[in-house]
Amino acid sequence: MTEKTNENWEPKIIAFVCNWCTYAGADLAGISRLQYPPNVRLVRLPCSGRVNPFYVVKALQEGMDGVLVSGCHPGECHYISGNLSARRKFAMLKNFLSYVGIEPDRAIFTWVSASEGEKFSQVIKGVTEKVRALGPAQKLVKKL
Amino acid sequence: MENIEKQVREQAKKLLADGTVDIVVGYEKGTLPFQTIPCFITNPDDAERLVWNRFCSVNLAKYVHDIIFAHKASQVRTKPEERTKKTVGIVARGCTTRSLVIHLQEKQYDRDQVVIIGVPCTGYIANKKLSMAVNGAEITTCTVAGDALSVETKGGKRDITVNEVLADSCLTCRFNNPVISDVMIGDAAPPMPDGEKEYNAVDAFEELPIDERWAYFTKEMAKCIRCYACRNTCPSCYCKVCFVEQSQPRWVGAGIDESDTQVFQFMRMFHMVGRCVDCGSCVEVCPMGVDLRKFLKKLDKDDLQLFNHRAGESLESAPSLSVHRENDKEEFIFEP
Amino acid sequence: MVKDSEKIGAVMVVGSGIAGIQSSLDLANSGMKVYLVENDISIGGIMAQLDKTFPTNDCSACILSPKLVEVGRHPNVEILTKRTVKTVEGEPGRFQVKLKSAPRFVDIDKCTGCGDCAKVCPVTVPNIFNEGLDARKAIYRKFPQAIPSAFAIDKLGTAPCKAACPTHISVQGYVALIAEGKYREALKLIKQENPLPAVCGRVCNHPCEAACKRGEVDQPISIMYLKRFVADLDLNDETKYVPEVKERKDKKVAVIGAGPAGLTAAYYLAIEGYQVTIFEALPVAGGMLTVGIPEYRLPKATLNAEIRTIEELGVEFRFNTRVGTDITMDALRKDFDSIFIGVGAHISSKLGVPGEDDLEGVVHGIDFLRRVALGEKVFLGERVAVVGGGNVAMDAVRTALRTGSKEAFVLYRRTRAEMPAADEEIEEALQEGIQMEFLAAPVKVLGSGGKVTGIECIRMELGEPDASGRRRPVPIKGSEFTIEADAIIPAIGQTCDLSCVDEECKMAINKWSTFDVDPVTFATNVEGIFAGGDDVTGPATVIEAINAGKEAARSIDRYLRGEDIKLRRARDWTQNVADKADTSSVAKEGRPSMPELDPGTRRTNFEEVVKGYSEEDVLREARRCLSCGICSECYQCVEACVAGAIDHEMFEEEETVEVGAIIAAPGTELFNASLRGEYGFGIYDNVVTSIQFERILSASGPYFGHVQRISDGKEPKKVAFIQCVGSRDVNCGNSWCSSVCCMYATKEAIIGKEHAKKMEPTIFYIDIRAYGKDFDRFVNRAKDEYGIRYIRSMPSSIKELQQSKNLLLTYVKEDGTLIEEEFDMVVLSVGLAPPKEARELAASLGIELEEHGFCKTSLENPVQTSRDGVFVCGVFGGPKDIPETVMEASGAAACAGGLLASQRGSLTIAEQLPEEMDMRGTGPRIGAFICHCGINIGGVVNVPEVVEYVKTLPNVVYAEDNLFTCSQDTAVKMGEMIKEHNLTRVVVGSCSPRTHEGLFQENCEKAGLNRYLFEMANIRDQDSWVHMNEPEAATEKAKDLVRMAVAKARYLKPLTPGQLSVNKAALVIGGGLAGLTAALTLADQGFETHIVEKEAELGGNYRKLYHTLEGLDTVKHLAALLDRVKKNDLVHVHTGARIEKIEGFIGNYKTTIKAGGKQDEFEHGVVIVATGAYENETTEYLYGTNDRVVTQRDLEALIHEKSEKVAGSSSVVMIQCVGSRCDERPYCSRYCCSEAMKNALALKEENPDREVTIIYRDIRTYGLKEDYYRKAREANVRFICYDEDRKPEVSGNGSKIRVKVFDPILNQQVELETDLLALSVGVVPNPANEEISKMLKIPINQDGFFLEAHVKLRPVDFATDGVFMCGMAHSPKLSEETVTQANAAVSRACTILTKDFIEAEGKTAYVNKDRCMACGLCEANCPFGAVAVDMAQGCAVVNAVLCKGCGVCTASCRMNAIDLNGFNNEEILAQISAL
Repeated sequence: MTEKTNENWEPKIIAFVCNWCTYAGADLAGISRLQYPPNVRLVRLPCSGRVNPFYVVKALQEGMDGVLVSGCHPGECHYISGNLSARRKFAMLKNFLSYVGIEPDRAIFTWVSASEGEKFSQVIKGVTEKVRALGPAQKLVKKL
Repeated sequence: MENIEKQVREQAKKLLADGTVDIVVGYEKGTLPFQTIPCFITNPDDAERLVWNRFCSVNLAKYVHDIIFAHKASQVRTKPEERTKKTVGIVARGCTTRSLVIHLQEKQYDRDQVVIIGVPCTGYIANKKLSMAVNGAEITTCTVAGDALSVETKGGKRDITVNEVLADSCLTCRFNNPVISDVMIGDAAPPMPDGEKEYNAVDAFEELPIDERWAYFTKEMAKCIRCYACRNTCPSCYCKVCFVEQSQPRWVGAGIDESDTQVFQFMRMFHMVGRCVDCGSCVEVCPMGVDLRKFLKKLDKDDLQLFNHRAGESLESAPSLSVHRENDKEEFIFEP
Repeated sequence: MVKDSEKIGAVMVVGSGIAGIQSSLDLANSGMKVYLVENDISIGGIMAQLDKTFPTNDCSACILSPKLVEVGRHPNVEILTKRTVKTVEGEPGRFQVKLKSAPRFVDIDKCTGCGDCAKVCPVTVPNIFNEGLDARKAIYRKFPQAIPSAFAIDKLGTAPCKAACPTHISVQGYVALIAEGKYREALKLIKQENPLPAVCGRVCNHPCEAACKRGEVDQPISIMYLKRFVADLDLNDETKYVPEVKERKDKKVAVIGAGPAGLTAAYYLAIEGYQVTIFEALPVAGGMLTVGIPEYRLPKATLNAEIRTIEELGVEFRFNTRVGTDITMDALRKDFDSIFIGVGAHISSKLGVPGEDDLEGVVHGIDFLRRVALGEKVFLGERVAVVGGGNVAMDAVRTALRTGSKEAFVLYRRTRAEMPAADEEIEEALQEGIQMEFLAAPVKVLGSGGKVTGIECIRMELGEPDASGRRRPVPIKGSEFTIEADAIIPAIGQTCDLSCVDEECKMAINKWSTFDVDPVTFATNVEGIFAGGDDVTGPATVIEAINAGKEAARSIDRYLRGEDIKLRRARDWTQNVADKADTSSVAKEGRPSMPELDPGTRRTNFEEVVKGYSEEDVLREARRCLSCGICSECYQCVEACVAGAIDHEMFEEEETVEVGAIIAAPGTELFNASLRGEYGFGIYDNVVTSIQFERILSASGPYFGHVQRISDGKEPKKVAFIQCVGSRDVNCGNSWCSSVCCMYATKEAIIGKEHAKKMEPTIFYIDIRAYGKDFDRFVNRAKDEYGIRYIRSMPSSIKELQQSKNLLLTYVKEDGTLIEEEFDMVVLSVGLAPPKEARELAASLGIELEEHGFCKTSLENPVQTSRDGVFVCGVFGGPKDIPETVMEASGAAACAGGLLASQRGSLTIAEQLPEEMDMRGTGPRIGAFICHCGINIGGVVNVPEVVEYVKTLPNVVYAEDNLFTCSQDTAVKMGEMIKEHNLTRVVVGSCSPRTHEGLFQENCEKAGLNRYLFEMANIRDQDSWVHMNEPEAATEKAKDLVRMAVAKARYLKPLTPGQLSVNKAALVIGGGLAGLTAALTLADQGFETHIVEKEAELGGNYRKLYHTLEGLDTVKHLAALLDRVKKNDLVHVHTGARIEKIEGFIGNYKTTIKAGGKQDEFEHGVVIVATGAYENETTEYLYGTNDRVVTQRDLEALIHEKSEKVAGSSSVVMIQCVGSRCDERPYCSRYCCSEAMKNALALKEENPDREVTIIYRDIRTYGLKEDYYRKAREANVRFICYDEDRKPEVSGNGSKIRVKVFDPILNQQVELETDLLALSVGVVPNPANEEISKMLKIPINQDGFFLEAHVKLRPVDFATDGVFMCGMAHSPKLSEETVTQANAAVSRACTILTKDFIEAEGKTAYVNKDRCMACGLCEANCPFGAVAVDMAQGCAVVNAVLCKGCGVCTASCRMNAIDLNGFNNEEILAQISAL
């Protein structure tokens, strides 16, 4: 772990996205050359339903300043209902993280479809701003 | 209550005698007079050992699961057609039956493998609260008569009301009568006093500033010595290999870093989404007095509010993470 | 008939919308080779333009894109874009199809789709994909997800200006570059063809301007002066363009003459690296440019600047050296390897009149100009007469003024109109006060004392045109007259002095004293000697001389290289000129005025007259260009394309392809809304078409999904949708119903409201045709949940309000009141029409069209055209929605596949792969390939730095960077590196795995590495492209992404997708029309079928029909089907049978049935559910209590049986929607309206006087059935509309029946007395569906019909693989639709039955038994029924064939017992930890 200094700290954000909608939306943002902050790293998964809540917790423990999960809009899942399964888990997870004292904006969930390149860039901007406003992550982070 | 105890014994004896069950799980007197421990009766004559009183604390559903799985494991080398099923009788109050419902919903055993001797419950006495009531003094005897509790310590005798020392989960319990049973004993118990206040503590905690919540969480987690007693007593914790002990990948560190413990507890609790019946067993057995219920109750509350579901309330109510609805709430979804 | 053994196992699919794509995929997945022919640049059709699809509101792009990728990557589908079918010869089973291909100008194989070309393209045209709402470039891709992803250049042909220019400079190109302010680029482009632009920017005769299409509108673009503006950059040493000289060559070239031809030749030869020496007789360079054109037109400084550039390229000048006198030609031929002669035409032509040679004061034009130019002081006298009308005459007369003559004038033998001089110059001369005497020809020069005193002329008149096309001047006898003058300047032409070549040279010189050269190469008859310019053409223009010099230089270069100098150089520039554009709608805007020196001042000096445009004027002028050719051929794209994919020299080609069958799927043409003038489309900004509105709604559309008005970008509040624009409208020729508009308007209104919450949509309609599955529900939701207003009326006109640009609609309410209502925006629901190429295509394919121009189809089989072996699907066969289109596409595929079943697999490729290498004992050895993608990644991310970084990562044993990792040479290299370094994992950092993962995986496979040992980092689409301004951050991100990929790669496992054998028989449940058709089509394909029918007889509902609305004799049709079934050995019929149980899954089913008390069992690989539906049993309207109340079906039978009940009825009333569209059954039964029309028409035909009344809610005769509705109205069938809340009331009255109904048009209750009442009772689902649903684990919807896998794109599939459906089991439908759907189900089934094994997904879930507690959460969460808990084993089991790899199970598992190959926990946690 590198020590974070406030001076040139840049938020480090991991995003778990589904292959069919959000990853494609991210590609579209690229094809459209929409510029957004370079703070987010995508992990491509088949479906938002593949995102084990544990990944979000692990990412926070590994020192991510923010975690984003994004999939297809409800009703548009490539796997029929994977995103609906995911939605239930994340509704609980988001509340629970906040309940134990972790800033709600550290873990953000959204839907971005394959045609929403513009929305994807807005999401990244929004998430980066929110996380930047929180400052470096301190809670749940592995110190050793 | 004595009447109930008597009927429990009779039922157990009958079930064992006529071969309905192979074993009955219930409570018996512990070594200390005011304590009970789980007991496992296979001989009808031993049914007399069974007790039913306000000291019956631990959720016995866990043992049903253990017995059946131990039996299954013992038959691995038996030819499939020669395998036998173990049938377990259990003395079960509301929370215990909810745990059994969860087991059944989660296909852990068949409905006919468990015979539920349902008992009405008016709450059990929490050891830690009792001990606090006498400022930690060693208790020599302790007797209950109705709602009155008479405690004797070396320092003298004290009379207190049972409600003062009932487990927190019992005080707000809305399921003190069995949700399913094969034999029901006694009349239904009246509602517990603080049912309406079930989520008061959660509500209050939610109102705290976020850093105070984090401070409380970390303070509580710092107590944890990773003895896993909570996990071991929890009827819903029945994994063969707990994630904390898994490698390839290793999910949680060994515990040198405080975040490891936080992550362990956080995720173990998260596994209780839609599955924690608030029996209080984990709290009861925790040697360090970690306030687990503060957190588990939040999951319970959200489960109810978001999915209109209560863990194990009925066999028909599908576990909340096994289903989903098109119109599930999604206010938490970020829209830029 | 072609024998089975001679058939071709390939199918051509013409048109690549969703129909073509579906047909292609079905065929290719069942063993056929497919050629997918598309005339556009990419596939996808109209569906790609849609925002969402109804009634589920799925994102259209999201559901279409995976199909595009699948078809694009399919090894057995060859996509042929920019192709049209010319002819089809041969017979079914073996056709020869001739295709014409139009050039794309971009090499599909090389183009990486990066879009750098479009960035630099200066030509902007309306973006057709966005329906003209925004703009795109001339080099473009239709939409970002397009397949093929390669760009294409939109060229209409050569721009007229370029074609007209003798040097063929890309005029439109540099004008376009100037318009963008790219002056340097413009200059460079010009100088590729012309080294003297500053000269040509002043004195060119600019044929380009004469050809300019803008001239038809107002004035041509001032091309010459635009050129002058950029060329003047050359006057400044800092801004001038000096081309790079290529490698020096040791060959030497002599150029004779430093005029424009010689200078040009020298320039291009010098660039090629030759050593060039110019021999010039005069003391200066420039030839006629210097000594012929006066300074006030072409300043010497300007000319010299351009000559200096040529000098700087290393060209040596030898002045005062006249070849032939000062040095011999022979000497040159010895010293030089090649010679160019451009000596010009410097000898004045003579008038040939007395006095010309002997009188002092006769000075010939060019001699005069030369003397002045070389600095001599020449004063000719007070009065000077110039004879001639060309440029030299103008130059001479104006120069005479400037050298002191008081009066200088022109004598010309024709009129002003015939003057060959440039208009500007004549104009300027006149401004300077120069007199011109027209129709005057000199006869004699008059003199006195040896000096000129005047000239005698004769008056001329114009006679017949001569060879030049001008009218020949004819002298008028006796009209001689005299003009006084001190000097006479004859300026009537020049000839050449060819004395440079001597006899020995043996150069061919013709009778006009010019050289004879090859018109293309400018080669003379003597090897190595080339000539051009005036010495070849006679006196001509600068630009022609320049062209000659340039072309000669090319020839010399080739000659010196020893190449064929003529090969592929001749080109006919009069062909393929883009001059057909309609300029009628272009707004007039003339040229800016040109600042000029005041005539009074300028006539006394040699200062340049024309001042040139300001930059502001230049930009304005350049933007007037109409971009006639679309592509301007500025070649900026060529320079920008690092991959070298662009080739402007591609041309049209023809090819012939052999196929066994053809499927026509050319799609549709949307109605041109401007044809309905009353709605003001194209005039009022805020009137848009529905397809424009789709683009407005689309997140990837012109406004990113923000709903806004065109006029002011504001969010509209009140939006009106007008239905049936170009549908159900005989006046515009489109009598049919377009079938989709009611629903898409409803969808657009809903989505619009979701995007703009305050929107208030109103839909104006005639009938709401929500006839499809769940459509009525959708409309009800629109009304109830979204508050969308529906008004049954067609607005008669729209007016735009001037200030607000709002729109005033006039319409009549149902009760007759006239309303005027204001809206912010109007959307016209434009209809579907036959594709515009329908006629041509039909002729090419040899098929017939029906009366409206749609494809004529068979009544028995709607995908069969009039020619055997040619099938049709989609809107070409009649208007229809996406699901019907997809069904037809599959149906057509089944029919084509049936025809060619014998040749299945004969032309498809089954790739042979090398054996996978043994990796045992080898740890992860990772090779990383990081792509520059030209400059797409490399221009932002520091790729070498990333490579160095990657090398430091654990387990990475090899890393390299590539210009294009996807190129063929890199693929080869990757294979070599895998072997050389014994790589066991490959990581590529490049673009998106969504498009390229498959390609790289193939590379791995070919090198013997399991394809799943590959991982990708997207450092382009998600890095360099989106962080272009932050190269450092982008580089860091690239490192992170690659590190994560490496971390994951370390844990990757080789995977072997599971295989499952396939039993090649089918179970068809139900023996109605659907089941029978399916069984027979399966038999055609060679597959065994078991039909299980619970009734004793086959035929189902179809037995109760007599004919269809279109006139098919269904009794005969059914008999024929039954006969075929009976005779077919492959079809086993089980009637009176009940299914006891169905076990198994895709490929391996076992079914037990009970028939006649006997149990039977058979195995099969697929199931087709064709359980049908029933006629609803009603008790409404006295049905069952009064025998004069019958159902429509009863009525059909009565009519057919010629029953007395009908014959004796003088009036018949029909009530529609009995038991349909009600609370209990909120769906439309779809066929009832058509059935009512059918019976009504039959009743009227039998007795035209019989009163027939149809009481209806909405008439839903969709598609071409609308014609029958019209016929019924024409036959005087009466129609009364009723409301759901105001149902008709029926009472019995003896033999008469009384029907009371409220007529909204009369606005009163009417009472009808009738002899017969027919009820359209609609359809109810088969109650047995529920049982089947449980047996097969397939869902049924809330109405009790089966629920397909996807409403739009998988209409006959279930989410469960291997089970399909057709007919009314799916939803109510007409018999022909059932036939199509049955064929479609077979097509889908064949994608399984044709295979010996089904290959599973590689990335599927797997269970770790040691952890699993069999809690069943995975089973509950699996959307595909692929995971089930095995109670006996006590753990979950994955059926890998059913598993789609979504991983929902894994994320649900608390025990982490179930995991997903390819995305397992270990891999993902490694990625997290790596970051």
